[in-house]
Amino acid sequence: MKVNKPEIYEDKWVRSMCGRCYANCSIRVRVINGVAVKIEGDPDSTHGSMGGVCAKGAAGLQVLYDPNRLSVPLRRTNPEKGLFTDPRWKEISWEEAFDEIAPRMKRIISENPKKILWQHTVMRHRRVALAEMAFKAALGGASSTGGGSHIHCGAGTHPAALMVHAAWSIVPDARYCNYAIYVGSNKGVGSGHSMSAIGRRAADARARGMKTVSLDPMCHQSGGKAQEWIPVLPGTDGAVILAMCNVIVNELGIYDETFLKTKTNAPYLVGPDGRYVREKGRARGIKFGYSPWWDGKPNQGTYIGDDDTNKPLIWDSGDTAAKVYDDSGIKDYALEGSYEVNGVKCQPVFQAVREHLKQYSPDMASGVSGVPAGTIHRIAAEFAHAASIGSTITIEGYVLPLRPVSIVLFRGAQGHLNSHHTCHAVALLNQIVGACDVPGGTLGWPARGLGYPATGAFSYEPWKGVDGFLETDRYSGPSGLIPIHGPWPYRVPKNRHELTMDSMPHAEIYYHGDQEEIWQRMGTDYRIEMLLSWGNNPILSVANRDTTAEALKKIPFIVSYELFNNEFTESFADIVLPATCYLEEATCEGFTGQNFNHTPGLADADWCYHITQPVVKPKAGRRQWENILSELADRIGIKEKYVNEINNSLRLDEEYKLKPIDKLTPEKIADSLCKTKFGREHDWEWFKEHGFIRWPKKVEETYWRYLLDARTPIYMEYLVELGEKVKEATGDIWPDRDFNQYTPLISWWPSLVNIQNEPEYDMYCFSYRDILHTGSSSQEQPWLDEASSMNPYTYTITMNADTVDKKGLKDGDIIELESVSGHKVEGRLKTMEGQHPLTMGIAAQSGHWAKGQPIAYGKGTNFDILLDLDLQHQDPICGSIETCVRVKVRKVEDAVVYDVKLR
Amino acid sequence: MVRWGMVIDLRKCIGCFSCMIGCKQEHFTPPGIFWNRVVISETGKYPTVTKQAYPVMCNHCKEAACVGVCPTGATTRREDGIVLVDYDKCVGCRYCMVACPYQQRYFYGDEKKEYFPGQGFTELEAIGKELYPLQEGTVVKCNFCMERIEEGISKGLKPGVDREATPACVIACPARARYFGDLDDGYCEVTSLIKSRGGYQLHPEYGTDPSVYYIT
Repeated sequence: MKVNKPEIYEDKWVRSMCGRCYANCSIRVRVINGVAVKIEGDPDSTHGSMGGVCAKGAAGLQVLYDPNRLSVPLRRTNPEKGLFTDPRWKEISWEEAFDEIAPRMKRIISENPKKILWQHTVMRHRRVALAEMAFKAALGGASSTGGGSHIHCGAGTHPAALMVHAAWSIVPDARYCNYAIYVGSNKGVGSGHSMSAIGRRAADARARGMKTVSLDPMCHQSGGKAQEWIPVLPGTDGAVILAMCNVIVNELGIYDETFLKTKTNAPYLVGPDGRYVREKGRARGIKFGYSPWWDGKPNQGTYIGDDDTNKPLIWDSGDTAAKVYDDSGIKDYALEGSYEVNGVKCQPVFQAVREHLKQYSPDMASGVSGVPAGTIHRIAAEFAHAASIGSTITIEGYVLPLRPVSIVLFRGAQGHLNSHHTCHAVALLNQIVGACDVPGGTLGWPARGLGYPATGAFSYEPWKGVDGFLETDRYSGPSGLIPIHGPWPYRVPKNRHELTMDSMPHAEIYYHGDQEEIWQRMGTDYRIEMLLSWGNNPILSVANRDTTAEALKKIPFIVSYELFNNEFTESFADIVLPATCYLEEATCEGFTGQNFNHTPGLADADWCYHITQPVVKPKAGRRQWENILSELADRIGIKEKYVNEINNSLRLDEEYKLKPIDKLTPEKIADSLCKTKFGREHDWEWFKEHGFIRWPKKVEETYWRYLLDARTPIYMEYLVELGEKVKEATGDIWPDRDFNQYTPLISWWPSLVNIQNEPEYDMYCFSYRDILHTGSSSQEQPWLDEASSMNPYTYTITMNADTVDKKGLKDGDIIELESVSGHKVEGRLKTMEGQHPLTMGIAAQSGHWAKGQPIAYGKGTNFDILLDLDLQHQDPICGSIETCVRVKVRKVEDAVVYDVKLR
Repeated sequence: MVRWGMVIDLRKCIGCFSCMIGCKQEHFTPPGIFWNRVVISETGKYPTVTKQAYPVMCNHCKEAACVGVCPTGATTRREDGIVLVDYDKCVGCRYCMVACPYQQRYFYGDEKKEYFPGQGFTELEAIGKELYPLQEGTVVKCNFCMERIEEGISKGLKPGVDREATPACVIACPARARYFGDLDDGYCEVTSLIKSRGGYQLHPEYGTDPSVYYIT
């Protein structure tokens, strides 16, 4: 074959980061003659697969070169807004766009900056950290939402992971684990959460023989990779896990005594009121200012717990006396028995937990979940024995407990009204066998970092805090929202009359169907007047699109910064600004890497700090968000404040602090940040050449559990008090909130879908992360479309083959699903053996109908249409949304989906 | 003698289609043409079900059915085991496509086909046509990235060990489920894996002796 290659005047590889999901893997991109032609994983970086890249990442080239990309600002000329309206776009100049935005913004912030709602994608979280937070602070505050984050985020699992692992999320230690249970989780086989990094580590583990068990309604992503798939009915995972705990503790009598006694609250004495028995009676609460890492500003408040003068007591069975939990003379901690201390009848937490667990027999759990009792019993026993309690391993001189078992959960299992308890049930099982942050067990995304050796940058660690419990300052949100995403201790809520309810989630209250009632009850005297959105499509990715549309209709002015027009911009945006994509941008990590990017574990998990840099020059007309913010800061006269806030939030060294006269380009900000973190020689130019800086991860950073004297809860004592306080502060706002769940004993509560028993609505429909897609953002790339068409399940609605037969349906039928609330979607039926007979699965957030994305147009079904978003569909503790829906199914002929004719 | 071959570890593969898209980038193949694919299916009956994700490609068979049927000698098997189409000799009769029991050949019939229909070639497609021209009216398929192998060897690199000299799909795989090497070398990674993990070929009953092995 003769190949006449063109003259090649440029052929280079550029190191950068992926932007297709929040894993943000390291990439290197080949550029020939100014055209990016190839994306690979960076083999030298641990962020990602160390060489490979997933399909979404590779398809980034088709984001970059999509002819449908926006390159001119647009203004809506049709005053009518709403789904399926024609915006009648008119191209305008950037100058005109700023003239529309800046004066409005200036006026609004003079009234109340919280009238501006900032909505951003979580896929590019670094960018929020780099400048947007500072901008909002410079405005004097703002309302914020991670669009769509409530349906894919870990409202339940993050708080549990923070309390038990001092980390954002959890993952099996693939290097040593021999038995891993994934509960409703596609970790490592879907997007997000260091996907390729943990994917490669889990693949190596499977190849060496780690057994994986998947508790999942579907044998597809995670289930499809497991040696054993155990179908489970949505909403019932907690019952199965608690039954496993029961079998292990009460029947097999296996538990890690040392771990329970020294690393948990198992020995703490509790009285008849469910509270700890303390030196001086009930906890008084503690007043202090909690300084979250990301802005360092003390969040003043009263927190649950008590100080060092009123510590919880334990029973020393060696001395037969009650002592404070950290008394230096304790001979042995009692885990069982009944005692009387200071006139109060009490028992150790473990005794109470053990008794409580007895109600969760395998038969009981089987009855609600559909998992055979024998299977529950068997996996419980396999798990307990595989934990090899008592065994140790020596790694680089450290003798550490070896607990090669792990159970982790994510979105599927926690997307119900029993989210908080289910997440803690998983934590309980890990704690019973002592498999927390020790070799082989469940690890947090790095909870401890000793920092870059030369400068100490990125050092952070958990510590022993209130009442002896594990604390971390990594994730406490500036608003102190509790208990969402907050670490221990939880702050006592106040009703602050702001649009986000204290004690409510980061939640999409901005899109709630019952938002107006909530705000009126809260006495909130302002409403959103301007929405600034980037990288978001709330019409497809929040919940039922009509509900979302109602909320958007009330917002007078909407600006969307986007790569493409989408359902949101076409229906509601007044101004659309053309965005650069990640292959055209300069950013670097502010402080969120340990949530999603750093690789958990040891070996091939070194610390890496990355930058994102332009691989090719952006087309004229497209601007990077930070440049837009900079321009806005100038125009509304907050430049000086903005610069100060950047300096403060990024903790820039005095020497590298930005000055108000500087032109605030992203490169300039990143340069200062890089030098602050890594020294003068590691400036932006250095990073452009090298892409990232890497330093070794140590044993004591990974397996820190026994190197730190701190405890974690197997009994949620704080909930008793929190419940009282939440009721006091917000009882009138959420009157029928289920306060029964504010019990310290980890329990299973039927979720809404488990009690909706109208026989017609016999199916449980859920959505899952398909490995080919990230929410609603990936259906427009033709390569992913080709792959999706090859995958029999990506664009279809799946149903168990027998159920299909029983219903008189057949593979390929067009079906309509109708929810209990009357929401309807249509799609093509795909039969599947690997699906629980009562469930149906729909991948990602597909079902596009916007004109701006012709490849995505009409593909797949948008699951979110089925979702209700109101207080009735939220977990009463952590606010997690019910993301499973009871539906009835019927065959339809000649269906029109969106406005696309299916047949 | 070298015989290039591949081992795909299905225990590691996560069915992400990265091999398929990595290959498309390497060879700038047009819409609808796949030198790498992933076949997703399932076996068993509820609840005892196994999901199958099989990455498939040209097997570079030792007894390649396509070679024998080619009337013009366009398809040949090289000494190093790579089965190759010479586009200059191919007349597009597509007999090989019928003969290939693995359905791994594609007819490249429309060079005007765009990835964004009606919107012209993207810069990426345009440069691809220059960097890696295919010939309209011929049959195309996976060539084991022979350009990478040859260029790599010329630089003293070892295919399967050194990235630059290794097929793009092996490099692309985030689960690192693919291994490449010399099937005639009894001591390299691919042959060890085949031995230790019971590597098997697809449809051995056809007697084609594929160079692509699977391990589970």
